[in-house]
Amino acid sequence: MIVGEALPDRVFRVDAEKMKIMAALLRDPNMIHLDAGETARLGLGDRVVNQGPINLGYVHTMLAAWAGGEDRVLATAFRFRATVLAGDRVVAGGRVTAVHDDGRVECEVWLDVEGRGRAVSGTAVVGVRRRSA
Amino acid sequence: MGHRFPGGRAVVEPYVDLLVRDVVGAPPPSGDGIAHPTVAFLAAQGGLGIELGELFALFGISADDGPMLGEWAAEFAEPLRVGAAYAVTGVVEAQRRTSGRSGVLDLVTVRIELAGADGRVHATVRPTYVFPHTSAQP
Repeated sequence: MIVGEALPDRVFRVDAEKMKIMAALLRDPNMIHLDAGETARLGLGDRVVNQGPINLGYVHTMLAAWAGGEDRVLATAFRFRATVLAGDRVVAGGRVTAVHDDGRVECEVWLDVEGRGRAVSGTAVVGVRRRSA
Repeated sequence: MGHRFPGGRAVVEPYVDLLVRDVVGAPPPSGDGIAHPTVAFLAAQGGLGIELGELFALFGISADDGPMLGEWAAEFAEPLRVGAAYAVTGVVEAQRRTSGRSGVLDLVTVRIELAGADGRVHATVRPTYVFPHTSAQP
């Protein structure tokens, strides 16, 4: 791994049915994830809004696939910049920003919505030496 | 700021890991017992000792006001494990007010720690909520 190396993109299609599962798991009462009429009332568009944890979860999934396992994700930090809506096609990606002697690799990561731009930006630290542990 | 939540206990149930993986497009569990990192979101929130709606209410907000998750961060000293139980503690770590195109907003960061059976903190999670400012808020 070298600084500047791109992490392999991972593409997801945002599914309103998955939002129902996450809403139930989180006991999230916010209807913008379940009722398109509510998103319209709040001026957020005409489709239900994906939950933040699903958006960051796409990036976690991309990171774990690249690093070789979920246990190699050591730290992540995300900022939610724009809404992601049901039916959107999103791309999780990233780039290596630092490689440390102790096996930690720092990355810039993101989630882009096709046709609308960046929805999530953030940073991550993965541990690559655990691969051979 | 400094408000401490009741806290409690969070168990990483196998069905939760399975469903989270399905929702975020991850492969099914591999059998190594490692939970998907996004499970930390649910374990932290679920172990806080109050419901999400109650958390909103602490700041004079209801779900109808359109609260949003603005930022989220996690540090893993150890990966979370399926079937493991964690002691959860939470505190309001930062609170700041900002204004912009969306009006006046309150940003509230909660630090949530998940400690394993060995007493060590295995994961620290920091959600930052964005609340539209209302007259009911301090």
